[in-house]
Amino acid sequence: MKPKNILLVEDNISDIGLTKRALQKSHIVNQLVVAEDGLDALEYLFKTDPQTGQTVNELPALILLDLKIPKLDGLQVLRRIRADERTSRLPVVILTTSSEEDDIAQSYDLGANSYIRKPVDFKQFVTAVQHLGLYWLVMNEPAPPKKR
Amino acid sequence: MQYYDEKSKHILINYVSIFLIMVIGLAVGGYQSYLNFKHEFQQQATHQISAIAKLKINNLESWRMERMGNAEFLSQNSILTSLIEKFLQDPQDTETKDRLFSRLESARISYHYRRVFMLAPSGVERISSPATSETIDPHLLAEITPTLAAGKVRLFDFHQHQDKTIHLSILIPIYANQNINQPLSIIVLDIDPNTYLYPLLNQWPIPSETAETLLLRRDGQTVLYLNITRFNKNSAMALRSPLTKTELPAVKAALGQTGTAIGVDYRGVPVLADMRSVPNSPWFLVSKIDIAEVFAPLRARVWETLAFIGITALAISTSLIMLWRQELLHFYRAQAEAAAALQASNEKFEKAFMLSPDAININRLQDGVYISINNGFTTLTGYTPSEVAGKASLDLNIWANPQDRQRLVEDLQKTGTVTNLEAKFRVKNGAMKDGLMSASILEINGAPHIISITHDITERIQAEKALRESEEKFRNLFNNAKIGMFRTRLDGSEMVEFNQKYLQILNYTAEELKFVPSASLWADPREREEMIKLLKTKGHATDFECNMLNKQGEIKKCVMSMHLYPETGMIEGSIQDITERKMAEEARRESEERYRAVISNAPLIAFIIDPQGVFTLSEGKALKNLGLQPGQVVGQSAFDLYHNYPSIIAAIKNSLSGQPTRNETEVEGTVFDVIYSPIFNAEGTVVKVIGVANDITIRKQAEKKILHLNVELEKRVRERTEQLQNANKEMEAFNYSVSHDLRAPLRGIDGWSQALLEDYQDQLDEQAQEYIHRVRAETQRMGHLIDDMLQLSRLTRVEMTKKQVNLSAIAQAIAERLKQHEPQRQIHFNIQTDLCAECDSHLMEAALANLLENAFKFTSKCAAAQITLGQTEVEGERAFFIRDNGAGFDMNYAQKLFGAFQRMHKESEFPGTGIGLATVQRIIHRHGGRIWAESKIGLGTTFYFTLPPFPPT
Repeated sequence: MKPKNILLVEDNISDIGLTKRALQKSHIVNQLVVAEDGLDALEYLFKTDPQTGQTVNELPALILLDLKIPKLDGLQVLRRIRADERTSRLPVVILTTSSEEDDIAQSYDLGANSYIRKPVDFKQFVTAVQHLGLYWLVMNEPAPPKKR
Repeated sequence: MQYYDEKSKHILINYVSIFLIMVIGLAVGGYQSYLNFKHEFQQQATHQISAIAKLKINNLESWRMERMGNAEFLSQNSILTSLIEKFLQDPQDTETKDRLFSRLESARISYHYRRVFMLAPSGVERISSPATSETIDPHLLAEITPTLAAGKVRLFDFHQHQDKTIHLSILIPIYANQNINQPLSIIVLDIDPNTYLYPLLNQWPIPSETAETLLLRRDGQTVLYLNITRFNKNSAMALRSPLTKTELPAVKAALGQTGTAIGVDYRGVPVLADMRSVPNSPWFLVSKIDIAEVFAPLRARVWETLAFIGITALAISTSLIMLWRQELLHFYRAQAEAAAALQASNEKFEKAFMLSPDAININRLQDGVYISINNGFTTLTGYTPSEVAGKASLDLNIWANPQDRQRLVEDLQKTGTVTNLEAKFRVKNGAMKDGLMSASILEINGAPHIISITHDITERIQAEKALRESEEKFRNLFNNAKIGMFRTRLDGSEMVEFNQKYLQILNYTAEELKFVPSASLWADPREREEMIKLLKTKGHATDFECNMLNKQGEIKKCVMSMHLYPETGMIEGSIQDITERKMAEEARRESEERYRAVISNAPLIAFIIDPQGVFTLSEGKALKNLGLQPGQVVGQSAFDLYHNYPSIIAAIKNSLSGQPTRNETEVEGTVFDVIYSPIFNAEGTVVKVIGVANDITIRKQAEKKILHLNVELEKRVRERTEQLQNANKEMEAFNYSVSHDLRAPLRGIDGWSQALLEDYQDQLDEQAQEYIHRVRAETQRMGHLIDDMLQLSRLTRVEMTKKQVNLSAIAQAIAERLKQHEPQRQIHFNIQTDLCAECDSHLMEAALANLLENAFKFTSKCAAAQITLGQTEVEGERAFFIRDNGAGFDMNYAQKLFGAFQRMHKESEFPGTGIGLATVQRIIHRHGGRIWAESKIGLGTTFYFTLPPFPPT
């Protein structure tokens, strides 16, 4: 069975590349889907087939969410994700450069599962992504989807 | 005539009384002698009966002793016992039987036993004299065993056999001669009471109709009659009386009572009885005789006595009647003589009565009805005899105070006469008259009457009264006058008369002043001489001002008016103390001047308004602000003047109603602060309103200016605050960008440099690789710089929460962390325990971390590093210090130490961003403290900082 996708919401091309590289280096085989702004991310998650009424894309195993993204910012995206029953239990990890207390506090208040500050040192970044993937994709038992 | 009847009746009553007293005396004497006789008879009967009883007791006792002695003899007779043994061994032996029989027979005959017989212990009869066929009574059989057990002679008391015969039996137990424990038989001596006992009891030694003796035995709750009584032949062993009937002498005796007593016998007849118990027996003896028999002789005596009394009474009454007639005769004769004398006297008095100028009247005491009046009465009252006839004084309403008559009657009843009683009378024409009255009780036809003589004292009384009233009036006037009044002599001797006020003025008591010469009361003798001259020339002095001395020697300013009576040398005058008035006048004048001076020069308006709203005063400099002169509005109505200023009118009305009022009023461009104070009199009515108006125009203008400035200032502050807030927001946005946007490209540079190294390692020579490493190192350093800068800027923004914080504990934790970080280092932390300060714990943790990390870093090249945290005092202030023995720095550059990005050492020696100490300084400054450092190169550095205590809030 094909493993579920990882959704990366990030607009910085360099960071996208580095994240992909870090995942590969960590031998995480899940497909990385990238949404470059908040609207793209929500569309990926909630786009519905008009015929079937079902969502087009399968829900990802993990969302890596940057806070500072164009259009809808990361916190707004997180609020939408948590407000919708289909996605309210999805693991969302905030992956950002900000270490402002406000950002951290708001993220957790809105239901972020984890908050990781991207280190400047790439080696440390790789280590962080490695731990993250190992934890959320392998060790963590995912929550069952909510019954309709 | 009626009087005479009364008198003779009186005499008769006397005689009847004497007669009755004598007869009663006789009757009492007779009764007394009857009682004596009765007592004597009873005494005699008692003696008799107890003597007889004693005799009978003796007889009974000796009879019993004889019987028992006889039986005792038989029981101890060994010959008889042998005979009985022999008879019992051989009953058929005729000779023995005959001998035994003859023994028993001789005993029977000698002592009059009815029968003597012998029983075997089993109760079988063995032998009997006389020989009969009688069966043995079961009662007797029952006695055998107890008798044998007792071993001695027993009397079986009165008992009745089945054939109703009455017996007494003596039981004699016989034991074998050889063995006294072996009962052989019992000999029975059978006694018939009729033989001896009953005749003994029934016999009475003197002749008597009712006397008898009762022999009794107690039997359970009854007493049993043992003998045949005089009035009941069947009584023996049959008649019983219950013990509850204690009125019976028989019962009393059975209950142990002895002596003589009166009671009721078995027939219910009253008897005199003697009660005794018979010694050594269960018997009681009652000897009695009917009371009737005892007192029979008394009746004859009673009749004799009565006859004597009757005869005596008859004799007394006869003699008394004779005496009475004699006296009555005497009395009538004396009466006739007295009546004649009275007639003569009456005529004499009748004339005196009628002709007396004083009013004389006779009234019945009982109801006050006029019996007789004289001419004087008619003159005084206007009533003629026909007008008063049959009427009472109260009917005529002649007593002005009816209580006066009441008093008159009461006094008369008490003492018989009244003299000089003053009373008011209302005469016929309604006028009031005062009378002086004397009266006396007079008996007419046996009924009490009042004769009174009244003298008309109306005129005298009125004159006296008028005089008294006048005297009193002037006396009061004199004494209660509010000015001092006095009488004295021209010669200056002691005061003759003076009133209270006079004493008060000179502070003397009446007693003291009596002995003070009037001349010595003058403070200045010249004034007195002047006064005397005035009096002598003009006869009087008016409003003469002078100085007098009071008791304490103080001068009293007085004003006197006097009049001289030249013929007596007497001065009459009045005096008033005007000391206080003078002083008060002075004080008032001064006060008024003072106040006027104050008010007139004060920058305000003072005014007074009367209850009608009219100004009575207006003063003060501020008047000129209104274009007014002092006093200009006096006499004008405030209501008229200010009818265009409703607030003034309202304030005046309000204060006139009693409310203190204050308001601000603008009049013709001038602003006044006016205070209206109502002034009350003793009744609480407003008598005036005192007002003070303060010109506050300038103050008002200043206030307005200040108000305007305040508004301006607030506006400016608001603007500045807004600007500041905007600046803060921009700053935050900048910080956010720094943290986010500046770091992202750095990560890119670092990341892709690393990718280059990894992916193209084989194509890069060592030099190229070294460069790439450099690129990465610089990138990371920049990351650190950004982080430190962010922390520094954040410190200025976070809010501080100060509380008591244990710095030692925080430092200890940081030290542990540092040691773990580089466990290979030889380093010793010397942290003084329990250093506390009031501060924000997060900020101070950051500061201590920076300082300790610094020390840790700069001692990294020491062999034995020492880092100390402690407390000391610098210039009287508590200071904390962190000392290390590390590299130290050149104190010449000390001022650059706390600047951002300032470094003291080469990067290659001690890496760092140069922001740490700037951070520390900012934290200390935010706490209001100071920080400085002392250092020597190669020897180490000490950082000092202070954390002042909270300003008390």
